[in-house]
Amino acid sequence: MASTLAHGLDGTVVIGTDYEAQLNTWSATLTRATSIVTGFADTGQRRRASAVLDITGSAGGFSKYGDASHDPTGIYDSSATVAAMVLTVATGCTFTFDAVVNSTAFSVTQDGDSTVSFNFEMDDADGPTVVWAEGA
Amino acid sequence: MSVDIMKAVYARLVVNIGDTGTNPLKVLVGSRIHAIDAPARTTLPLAVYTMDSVDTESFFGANKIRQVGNFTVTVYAKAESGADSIVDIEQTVFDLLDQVDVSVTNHDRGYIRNLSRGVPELDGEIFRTDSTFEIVAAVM
Repeated sequence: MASTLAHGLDGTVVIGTDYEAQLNTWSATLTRATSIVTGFADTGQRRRASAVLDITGSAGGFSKYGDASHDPTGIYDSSATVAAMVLTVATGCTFTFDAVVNSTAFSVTQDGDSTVSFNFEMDDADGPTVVWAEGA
Repeated sequence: MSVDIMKAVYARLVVNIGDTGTNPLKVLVGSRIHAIDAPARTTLPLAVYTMDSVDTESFFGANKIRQVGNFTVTVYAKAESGADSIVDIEQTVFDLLDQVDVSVTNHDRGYIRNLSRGVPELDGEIFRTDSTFEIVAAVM
């Protein structure tokens, strides 16, 4: 397959089963903490990256109702569930990991939109499973 | 633009409401409600509705689109009828179209609300008002 530029319409996102909405955007940041290990004689900054990877991000769209599966129960249940996340950049290009949804933001404007966004943080001891479509 | 949206606007403009089951706008303009343009030499008063724009917003998943259309309802009346007459018709248009749910074929939901009220403008021997509305329809 030839090298292909990804477009937003190739993407999608799954946030477990408790955070239902009509989504049209997601973002995620993969982070490693770093520590400065600069020595006395060094004349430039030196850093070491942690082996522990972290992922935080959010997904947003419009709230839905009228069906039992549309209730975003996860955020207000007494025991928050771990969401099975699948972030898709394009077909065959995915990040799969477990996460906790630590905040859900609703916005309802009488003469405008009724939107919702879910903020998530990774809860996965062995990090994400990353699959990326590559040519032979 | 989906023709379903234009049909939904027209259907709401001519819908029968109330205990009498009549349409107040049709009564006031003698059923002269037209899309885009009225036939030449049509008797006044009359109403014309025109789609101004339709913006789309896409969602993850195939064929999931939310359309937001802006349209204008223009009312024409003879100047000799007086400004009160055309204001009454504009009020009827507003009452019919502001903050109402409508059925849009092939869409899961439709909603219309007013964006701006029409005010009488004297143009030669006629009064006209332009009222603008928004229709939101989604395919999910």
